[in-house]
Amino acid sequence: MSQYVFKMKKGELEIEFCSDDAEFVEQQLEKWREEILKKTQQK
Amino acid sequence: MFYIIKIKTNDDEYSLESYNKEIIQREMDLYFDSFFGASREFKEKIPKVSIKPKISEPSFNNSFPIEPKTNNVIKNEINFEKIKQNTKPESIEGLTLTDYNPTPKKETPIKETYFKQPQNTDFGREIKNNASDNVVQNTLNEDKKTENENLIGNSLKFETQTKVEPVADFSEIAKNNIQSEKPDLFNLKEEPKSNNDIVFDSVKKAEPSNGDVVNLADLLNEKPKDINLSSIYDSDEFNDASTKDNTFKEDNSDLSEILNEPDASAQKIEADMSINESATSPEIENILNAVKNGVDKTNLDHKAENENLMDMFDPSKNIDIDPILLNSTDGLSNDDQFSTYKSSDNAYKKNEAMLEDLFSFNGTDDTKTNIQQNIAVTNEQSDSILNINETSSDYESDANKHEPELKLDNTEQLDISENATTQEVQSVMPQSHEEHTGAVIDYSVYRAGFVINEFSDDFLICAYYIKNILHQDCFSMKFINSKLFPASGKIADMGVTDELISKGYIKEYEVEFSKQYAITPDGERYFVAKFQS
Repeated sequence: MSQYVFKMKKGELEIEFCSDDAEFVEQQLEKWREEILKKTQQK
Repeated sequence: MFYIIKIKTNDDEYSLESYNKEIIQREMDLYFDSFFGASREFKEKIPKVSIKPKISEPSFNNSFPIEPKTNNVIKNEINFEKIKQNTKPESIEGLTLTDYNPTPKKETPIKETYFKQPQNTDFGREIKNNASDNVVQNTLNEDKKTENENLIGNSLKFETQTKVEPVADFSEIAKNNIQSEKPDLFNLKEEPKSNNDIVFDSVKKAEPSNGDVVNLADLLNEKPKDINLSSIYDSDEFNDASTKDNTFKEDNSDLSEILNEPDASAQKIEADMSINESATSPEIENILNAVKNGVDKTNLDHKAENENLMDMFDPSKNIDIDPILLNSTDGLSNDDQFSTYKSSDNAYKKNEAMLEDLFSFNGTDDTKTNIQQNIAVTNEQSDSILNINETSSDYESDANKHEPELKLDNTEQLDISENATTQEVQSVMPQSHEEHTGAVIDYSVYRAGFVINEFSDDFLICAYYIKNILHQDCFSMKFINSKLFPASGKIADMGVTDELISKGYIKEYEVEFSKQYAITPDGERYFVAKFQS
């Protein structure tokens, strides 16, 4: 079974997301990506 | 499907596990907003309540280790509060909240904890602990309401780890890709494959394209390339390579002609053989065989005319030189002896052929006498060691001038001795030869002095008898059977000759579409050692 791990780190904080649901990982990362872009544009 | 969210700080690490996608998604959205919005808020939202689940699965660790360190920054901002006791925990997805163990086991590398998401909007809602009846309320600021309202009753597995793995700085990645297009980092359209699959793919990618694929099955089934000797002989490369041979350095210019023109090649090789004794070397033998094969292939029409010359190319004749003949050629050089042997050998063969023609000839007595005279001259010349080069070349040059019956006489152009008598002519015949050599015992009598256990020995004895008693260098199967059958009652076949040839006691060569045999020096030595010692 494949396992996907995605880590985010900001300063001392780090979020790691791990799952075997490829579709969900894809959706979630895409969502995060869009959020990151929005927040960056707002700044 | 499983989903795990790990939150790490410098001091602590939390892991949130669940099999519910929605829960994880909401938690991730929550954490993500705080993560990139305000780190302070995010820190405040991190749950610090761990509830040990009551699980039927034995693999779960019942210990409940989550306790933020005292120095944890987050701890300072989160207040834990016991809000209820003896509250039956809620069960979600088969998992039941169980005891809360306030003393975490530091020795355990991976410690599982579970927490319950706070009801309503805050983390600081009641969290129920079934076993220990410890209910902790996490009180946070009122303005930190999030989307956790729908997460009421959902239990999530929390896990602490002492190991902190180095991770990539996502903020840096985000900065780099902030204005660019969709980075490849997020392209997860294709589900990654297992390690084995990856290796297999890499191997497949390493394979050449279809045009370059080397099919092993084809290699195994591929037939070996046929070596077309004729094409090699006719090719320029072969001619060029052949001309580089030092042995034929004097005749380089004519070697190509040798390969393509049998008549010329025969003369040329013949001359080389008479000059260069190194003709017995493997290289020369190979070339001679090549020329022979080429002649046989390219000039079948002239095969009959070249048989005598082809006989000269037989490497087997170059190896074994009859010691008896050599003894009779004392005073001559090796080259001359070699030529003598060839000449004498051919002369006897030609005489045999001429005798056959003579017996079947229906001409007049004068003609017979003339032929007999020629035969006598031939035999005389062979006995007097004529050079085969002269007879062969003369025969070749004048062969077309004579009648078919007389073409076999290779001494037609030589001066015929008018003093030759019929007795000399008759001496050519084997019977006459025996008479010429004196009283010759019959083979049946000759073999009686030996103890013969095998027919091959009988054959060898007969061969020795033919050579040393009858003084014939070679014999045909018909001739030796004419000796063997009356004496032993058996007829020799190819099996006997093959056996002796394989042992090296008998040699075989073709003369005018017929095979002739002769005992070799090894055969004679074997005979002497076995029967006369």
